[in-house]
Amino acid sequence: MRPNIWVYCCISLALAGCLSDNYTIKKRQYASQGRLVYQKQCVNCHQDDGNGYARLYPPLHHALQSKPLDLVCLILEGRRGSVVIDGESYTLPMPAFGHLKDDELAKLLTYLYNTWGQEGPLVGVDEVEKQTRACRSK
Amino acid sequence: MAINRLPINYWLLTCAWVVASCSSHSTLPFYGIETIEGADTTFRELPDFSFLDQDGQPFTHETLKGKVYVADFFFVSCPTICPVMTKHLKEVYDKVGPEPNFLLVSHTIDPRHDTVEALRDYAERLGVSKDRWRFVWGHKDAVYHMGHSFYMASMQEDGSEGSGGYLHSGSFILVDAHGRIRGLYDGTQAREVPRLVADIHKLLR
Repeated sequence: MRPNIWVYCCISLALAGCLSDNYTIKKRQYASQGRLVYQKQCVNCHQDDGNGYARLYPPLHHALQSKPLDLVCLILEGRRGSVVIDGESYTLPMPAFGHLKDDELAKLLTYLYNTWGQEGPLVGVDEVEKQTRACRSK
Repeated sequence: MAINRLPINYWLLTCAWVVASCSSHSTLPFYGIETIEGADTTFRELPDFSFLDQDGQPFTHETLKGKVYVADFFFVSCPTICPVMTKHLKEVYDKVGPEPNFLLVSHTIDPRHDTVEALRDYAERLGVSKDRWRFVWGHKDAVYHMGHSFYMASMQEDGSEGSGGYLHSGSFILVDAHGRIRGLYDGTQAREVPRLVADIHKLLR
């Protein structure tokens, strides 16, 4: 007896639902662990709301317009020289966070891209690992 | 007359409040290195020094004579506790407001990088007035010696990753108009700001 096409559809939908649930759960888990990384490494300058402080420490919204992996090298290597955001020039150097591990970076990026009203992607450790290697081989 | 009918507890409470208000200034402790001679205890007072402020003008012990002030130690490129200390000190600046006999004094512990121009830029970016908040440059040995010997603040160069090159105390140090330390506060904790502001007002009264 041939199974009904509707049975296949139901099974596929259920599987897709499970996968999607796992993705969402993992993303939330990463974001909440990434918040701890943010609180420890970033919040002193960029503040709880990501808006920076005075004309000393820049807001993050500009950086978050890039793709998550584009920020890996910046975080690992820091930055010297000024950056202009919304017409304001910020001149203080950003320190290098080369001590962060790939999983901490992945969680931090997931947090950054899923906070302050954004609904961004889950940033995986494997993709961060590739990017980290690329940054370090430059 | 109605005033005679007020209960005795009311008068006792009123007297207690008046006494407490009058004596609140003296409730602040004295900190620092003390010398006891016979029945007299004296506390070490601010030593003579000669530094520069963010405009390159002399900033010396004479500048602070007769002033209540809060001192701290920081450096401009500090990636750890300084940004949050600056934020808390700015809250103190805003809450106390302009007072002719009050100053905030931030000493850089990285005079090689934090030139007078860098300090001026930092102050301008923070949006504070030189009349109320001085950013102070001095030779490293002199600043560190004063930090250790008078302010009881620790500071040292440090090569470990993430420190930015220095380790230092996160204290805010409250000094009275006679150059004596009257309060120590953890500058990294927001909850210390109201306590510090209240103590500043006690010394200014």
